[in-house]
Amino acid sequence: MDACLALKQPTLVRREVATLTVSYKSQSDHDLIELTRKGEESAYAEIVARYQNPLTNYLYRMLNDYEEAVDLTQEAFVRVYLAIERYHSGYAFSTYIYRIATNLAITELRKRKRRKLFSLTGLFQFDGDEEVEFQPPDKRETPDLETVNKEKSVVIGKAIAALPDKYRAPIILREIQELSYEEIAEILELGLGTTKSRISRGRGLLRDRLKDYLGR
Amino acid sequence: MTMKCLEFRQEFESRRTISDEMHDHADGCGECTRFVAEELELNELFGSLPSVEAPIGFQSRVFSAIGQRRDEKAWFPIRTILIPVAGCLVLALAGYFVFLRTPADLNQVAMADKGEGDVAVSTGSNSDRPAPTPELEIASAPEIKEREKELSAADANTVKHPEAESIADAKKTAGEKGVSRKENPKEGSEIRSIDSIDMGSEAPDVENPPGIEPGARIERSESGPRTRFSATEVLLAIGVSAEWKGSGYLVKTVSENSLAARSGVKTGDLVLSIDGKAVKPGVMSVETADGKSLKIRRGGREMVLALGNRND
Repeated sequence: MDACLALKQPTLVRREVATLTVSYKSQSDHDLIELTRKGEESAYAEIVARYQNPLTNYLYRMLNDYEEAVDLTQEAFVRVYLAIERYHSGYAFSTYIYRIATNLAITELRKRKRRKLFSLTGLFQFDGDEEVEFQPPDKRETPDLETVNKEKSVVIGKAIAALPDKYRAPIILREIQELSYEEIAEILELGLGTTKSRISRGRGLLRDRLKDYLGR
Repeated sequence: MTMKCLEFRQEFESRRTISDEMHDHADGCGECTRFVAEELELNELFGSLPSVEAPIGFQSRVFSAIGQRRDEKAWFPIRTILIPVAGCLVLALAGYFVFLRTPADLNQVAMADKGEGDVAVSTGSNSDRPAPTPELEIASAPEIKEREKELSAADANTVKHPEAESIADAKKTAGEKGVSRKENPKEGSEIRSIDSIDMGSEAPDVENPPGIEPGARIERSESGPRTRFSATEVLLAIGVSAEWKGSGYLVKTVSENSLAARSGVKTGDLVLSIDGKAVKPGVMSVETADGKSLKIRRGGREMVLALGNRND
């Protein structure tokens, strides 16, 4: 009997893990945080799995540097985990983690400004008192559609990364992360009106800069 | 029209769709039609952006970073305690050496080095001076005055004060024989006041003069022979007992056969300066304890007396 149990055990264990994983996937962010508080690291692993790609994408668009984006995403998860006792479910977990990521990105951008680490190939334009990097569009004819799309995405990415800080985060959160105005307002701790106007102004700036790509 | 265009654009930006009312406006407004076209293209451009993903093994990377940070955090409370404690210790030690040790050290130096290259220095208003130690008794101001009175009384009655006489004799002997001046007082000699210094048959020691200012303390001499003496010290050394009168020292008594007596100093003279330096109640800078010349006022006339020039 015991031998039979022993033979069946690996299967049982596998099933339990599978059930556990399934149960984690069906649980809300708040529930997972609660489980993490109780010491279940697997619950936090599920949180990481849920948000690692959106956060990496967001930070990559903010910083236009993949390695830095990955590092800051990791830092955001570490900070959330170490301060998990202080987290309260007053607002969505996504808002909480995006806020942390945004603050990390803004800090990094400020550091960059101090170090004056700007692209050597870029031209500099001044919008108010903020430095803006501008990439001129490449107007060469390219027969391959894939190459054209690749080039487009590079130019758009650079145009976004060159937006002033106050427009960049709302634009990325709205146009790339596809969050609602309300969520963006919460993440950035801004009023709804201010959030909308920043997004509108950011889009206006992008339209101007990407004129050569619009209507091609 | 302009207002309507603004409303149209705001509406389109928030909805991203065109209602019938908006459609009517767009049909008649070329700018708004172009705006909508550009907005839609911009949306397409945003949509064409590839989504960037976290690298493979990102979760384990996060957990290993969490583990590292936890370890650092575990040390943090210890560091937060150790650093302030270490800081307090350093401050306490610094405070001990700066504020507490100095007076005690001075006492120790005074006790240990008594009579070995030390000189008496008037400290004036120095408030942190150490209390006089039993090993080194320093005569106070009233005591000095009392001794001066005794001396002057003895002179007035033409009775030789044995100790005053010994000073005068010592000076005389020194002047006549040219005895070299001692660097230090004799070991075991008691510094109490001018009239209790064991001078023997030698001249008074200029580097350890007998007159000690009230509240004087013993310090190690750093720059060789002493160059600061009070006017009272100098006058007593030459055999004059005087009293401060605002503009100078009024000579009350002159010891018989003293240097002052031999130089022509008389009772009632007002001593104005010693060695060219105006006298004042505090410490003054003259090169020797007995002086070289005195400027006095006698009967309204000022004159300079060279000390030791007259032998009448």
